[in-house]
Amino acid sequence: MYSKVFIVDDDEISVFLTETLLEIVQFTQSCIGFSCATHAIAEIISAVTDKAYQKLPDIIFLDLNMPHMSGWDFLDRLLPYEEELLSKCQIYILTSSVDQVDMDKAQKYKVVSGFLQKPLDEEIIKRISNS
Amino acid sequence: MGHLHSDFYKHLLLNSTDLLSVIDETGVYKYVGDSVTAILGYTASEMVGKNALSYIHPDDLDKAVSVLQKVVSTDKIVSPPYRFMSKYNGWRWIESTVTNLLHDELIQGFVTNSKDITETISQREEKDLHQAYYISLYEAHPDVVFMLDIAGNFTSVNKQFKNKLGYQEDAVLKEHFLKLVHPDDFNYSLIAFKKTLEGESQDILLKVLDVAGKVRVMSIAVLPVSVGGTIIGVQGIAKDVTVDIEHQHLIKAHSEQLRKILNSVTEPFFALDANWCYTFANQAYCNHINKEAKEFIGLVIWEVFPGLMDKDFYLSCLQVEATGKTEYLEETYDTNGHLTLSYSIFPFDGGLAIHFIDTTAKSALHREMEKLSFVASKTINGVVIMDPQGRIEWVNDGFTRLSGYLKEEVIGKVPSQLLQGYQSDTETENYIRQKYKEQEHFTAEILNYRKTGEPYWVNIDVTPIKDATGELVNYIALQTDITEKKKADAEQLKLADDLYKQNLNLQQFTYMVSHNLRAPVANALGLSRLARKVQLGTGQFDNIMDKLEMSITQLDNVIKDINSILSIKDADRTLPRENVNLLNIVEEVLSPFQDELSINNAKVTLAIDCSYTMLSNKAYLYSIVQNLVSNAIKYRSPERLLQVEISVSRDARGYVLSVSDNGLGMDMELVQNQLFKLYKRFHPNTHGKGIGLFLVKTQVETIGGKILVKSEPGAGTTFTLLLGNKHVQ
Repeated sequence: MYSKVFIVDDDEISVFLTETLLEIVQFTQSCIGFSCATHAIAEIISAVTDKAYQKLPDIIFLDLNMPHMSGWDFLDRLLPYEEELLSKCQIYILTSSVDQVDMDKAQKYKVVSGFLQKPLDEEIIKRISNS
Repeated sequence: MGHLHSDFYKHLLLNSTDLLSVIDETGVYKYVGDSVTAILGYTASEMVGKNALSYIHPDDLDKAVSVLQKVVSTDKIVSPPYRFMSKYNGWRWIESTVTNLLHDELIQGFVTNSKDITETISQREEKDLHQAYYISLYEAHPDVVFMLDIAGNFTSVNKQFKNKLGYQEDAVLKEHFLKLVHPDDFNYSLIAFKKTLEGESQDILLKVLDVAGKVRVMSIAVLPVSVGGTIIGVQGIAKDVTVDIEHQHLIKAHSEQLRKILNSVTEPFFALDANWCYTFANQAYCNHINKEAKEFIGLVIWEVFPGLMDKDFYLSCLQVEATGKTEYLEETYDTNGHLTLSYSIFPFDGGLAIHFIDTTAKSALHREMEKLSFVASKTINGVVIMDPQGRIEWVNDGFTRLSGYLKEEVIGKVPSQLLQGYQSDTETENYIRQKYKEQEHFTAEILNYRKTGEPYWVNIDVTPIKDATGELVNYIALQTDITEKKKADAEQLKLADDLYKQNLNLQQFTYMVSHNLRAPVANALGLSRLARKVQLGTGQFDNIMDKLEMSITQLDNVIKDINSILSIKDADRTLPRENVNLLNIVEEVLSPFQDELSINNAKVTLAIDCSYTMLSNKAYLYSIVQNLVSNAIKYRSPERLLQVEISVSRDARGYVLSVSDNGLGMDMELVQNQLFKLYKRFHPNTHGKGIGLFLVKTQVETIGGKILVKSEPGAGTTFTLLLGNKHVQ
């Protein structure tokens, strides 16, 4: 069981759905939803720069289509910290997009561990747990 | 002797060769001896009583009178010869001895003893003549004359000998002639001398040394002098021909030089004498007619080339001969292909001097140009012929039609300077300049300007024309009006551009729609699966059901949005338009918002002239303003009371409508590329769907306008609509 998971998604139904599912399968000890990506990024960057790595989540589920700061913007902001994050934090893109362009683009980010399509289901969560 | 008989005296007097007579002091005959008849033909009695002076030649009368006067005071006087008229034999020269016997009582007169000396006189005259001849021939001869004895020594020389050669007479007399001969000519002169002694006259050319030792070339006639058949010496008459010889050499050298010059001239040249015979032909001419000079020099040209008599060349030659004036002529010959010769025919030394050049290539080019010009003048395209410097030599009517310039206005000008203006493409101009420099064929499209200043597009096709030697002769430029094509090109480009934009819009639309359809569907799907895992009737289950309903409502809204968007896109071309009063429409939009505005204590200011009316689609205009007002309310700042200002002003193109608020504002750097896109939202804590501004933009563009936005976080936002003039009344 992971200790900490972030869900970055402006769609509150989607956050609810993901949280509920993680709870049911007992995926994590704590789960924090961010409707605004800027808040999530602030927390991650401060943890890295402070070397307070225990504050980092084990897993981040990241939506792509968000106002103000999109999922891509989020990933771009993390680029300078990529190496430090790699061993400590896995990022899964969780999106309603079915666009191949988005999938290809996601592969270019080292820090991205996988590209998941909404809705998240039990099978996938189990696979992540086992990996 | 004693006393002789009187008959004795009588006979003596009768047979004497002398004439004895007695005259008185005045000259009248008192006695005439009988011998007079034998001497003068008269009888004695005929003469007695007559005056002797009356027989004397008038020219000699003075002499006779003078004798008579002198003899009075002397005993005896001998008269000079005088002429006396004989009876039958004309004038006779007579010489008389007059003896004064006036005091002798028996005589009492002058006794004259006369002798006919006519023969003696004429002999003396002849001798004088010979002497004169000799002097004139020898001494006064203008040439050098000398005599040599048979040993070759000078026996006499004339005055010219000294004048011409400088030697004193004494210095050469008795000297051998070889002393004066140049050693080169020793043998030659000795042989000539020997031959002369053998009786042979000859002319020799001899190098002679003058007194200063300078060599003079003398032409000498040497003649044998013989007395009684024996040659006693040699006479020579010598003429100094040094200068002549020098002149001859000079003339020869000059004529040789001239011949060389004429031969070296690469253009054919020949001369004819008055009888049309060749007197000279240079090598170039020989090559041209493919004959050697010796084959035709001296022959009549018309016999060598009978065919020429049918030509204008023949007539021109006759003309020059008749007028003495130079003629120029160009003539084409069709033997052995096309040959064009350009002649210059000069009158020369009684004949003609003729030179010509082969202008076949040049005239072929000329003919070609003429043909081309003819074609060019008829074509509708512009044709420009330029010199090697790119200056206009000729233009056709097509050029005038295209550019508006007359031929006279453009001759000598450079086309690019004349036709290209401020909007002509510099890069193309440079390319054209470069190609002219390289003398290569090229085509280009360039914007030109007519005389009126109106721009027009042309395609120019420029070909450099070179002669056989590769020398640039002309440029020919063809100009085709491609203004229409360019317009079509531009339209096509705009069409393609529009299409691309449409495509991009459509792509984006599809992407957004699919994404926004997919999001609620994915949620609904996830929620329904989740519902199976929770207990029915629990709070969690109800919660899931609520969320499921929300998701499906979202889905429904998206589908409605799509419908409204598609209806705008569809309406693009067939949108109904009507007169819309701008103030009225803004007031109509505001009225449903009155409650919301007053609850929030919002202040709305209008600055719209009530006369502003435009032809537009009322529903869209309403929707646009409504969306903007709605946004202003939705994104108001919680820190201050909302103020909205709506104003309309006119500008050059039409109306400018602006909706300005003091709300939250946006960071333009973050949003500018996304603001008007479908399903983009910039305010996380509000309930925008991200479709309002997309619709606004789509609708503004549909009614022919443009939307601009200015915003600052914490200060407010201003949307400005530029409504195009095509809808302005």
